[in-house]
Amino acid sequence: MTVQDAPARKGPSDPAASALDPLRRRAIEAMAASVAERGYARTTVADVLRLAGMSRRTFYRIYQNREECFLDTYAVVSDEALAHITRSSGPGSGECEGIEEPLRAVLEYLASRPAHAHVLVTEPVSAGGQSVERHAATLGAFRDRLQPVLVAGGGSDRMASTAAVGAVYHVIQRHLWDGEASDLPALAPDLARLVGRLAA
Amino acid sequence: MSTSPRQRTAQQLPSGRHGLPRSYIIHNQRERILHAVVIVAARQGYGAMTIEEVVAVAGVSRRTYYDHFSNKEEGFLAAYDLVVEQVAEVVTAAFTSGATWPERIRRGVGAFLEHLAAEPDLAHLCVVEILAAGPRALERRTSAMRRFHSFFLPDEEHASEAGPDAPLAAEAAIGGLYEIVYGRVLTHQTEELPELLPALIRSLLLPFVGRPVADAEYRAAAHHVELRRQRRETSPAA
Repeated sequence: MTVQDAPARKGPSDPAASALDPLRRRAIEAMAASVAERGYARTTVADVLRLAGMSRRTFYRIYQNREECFLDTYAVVSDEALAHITRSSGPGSGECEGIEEPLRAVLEYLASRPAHAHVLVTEPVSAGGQSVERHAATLGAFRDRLQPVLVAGGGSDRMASTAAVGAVYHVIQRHLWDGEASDLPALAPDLARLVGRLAA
Repeated sequence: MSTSPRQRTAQQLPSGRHGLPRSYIIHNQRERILHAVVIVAARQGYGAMTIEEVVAVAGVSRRTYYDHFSNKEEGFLAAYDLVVEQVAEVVTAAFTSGATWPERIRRGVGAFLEHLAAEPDLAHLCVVEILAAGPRALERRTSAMRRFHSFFLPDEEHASEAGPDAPLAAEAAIGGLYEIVYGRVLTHQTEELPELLPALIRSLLLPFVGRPVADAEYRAAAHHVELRRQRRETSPAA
């Protein structure tokens, strides 16, 4: 393939998930499935091709390499998760009792999409490199969503809300590692209470 | 890196007959290798770390490395185990020196933060790099975290406040603590960790004790931080 006939690369620079290219969607879902099953470290491009039913040539039109595909998967999945949480918690729930609702939305979202949950929660740190930074940014975004709710509830500083997000993250991570994703939604009331008190 | 593995470092034993028992030498070599792993992994990351660099820093031969460890991962995991063991010792000693459970938590967390701040390389290895070293490393980390959960299980006097979900609360507290520490270590602000103690301890205690107790521990921690700052100002070399 020459430079001339290579189409403009789509992909990581454009994580807007609303109208995702169907090929890119297939690669992303295949990457997520493989990562959930065997972890990023042991996932190869060949695994992604097999699960996506995609040719090598098509894959490399979209992505330069495995890492770029993973970072794109991560970007799309985290955007979708954040959008889902924003939708289901609604604009009016930033009042003092509003922690449990968005938290339940996160837990239900992760429980219903275990492969995406692995991409979001258990893998970015072990994938290393750029994904660590992106992961820190995503946790920051979750914290910023949480912050107004906590402040409205009498909560205080940034450190407390970071600790609260870290607490939830750690509990979710352990459940996923232990294969207990389906237990997550039931934890919403207890976790909401804990988050409220950690950040009180 | 151009350093020859034969080049002598400050910690290298003199060559030739030094009359030291063989078991001592073996122990010492192993410790030197593990110390070198901590330094190299912290500076370059686990992925870029090579056995060549580790043996150069340790001042041992490649062959000596392989006498102790079969590959890079084994050396890294052994270094992690050693670091966790040290941290657990320091934290346990501080924890048991407290009179009440909230005071134990304050002392344990305080000692943890001070230990990491005094050894930023060690902190980087056990907080950041362990996440990037593969599935076996993640398993070690999970069991290390579980070990620290038990500190956060309140005693009888404070159990009622935490309620029946105390184990979940303990797990959450460790996660909150880890997230704060991780953020600082990742951005090379490890030395500032001890100054976070007051706000951190109040936050961590609130799920378990009432506000008056958490506030009292906040004040005690703030006092400790102030004394520490004064000590440093009067003797900057310390």
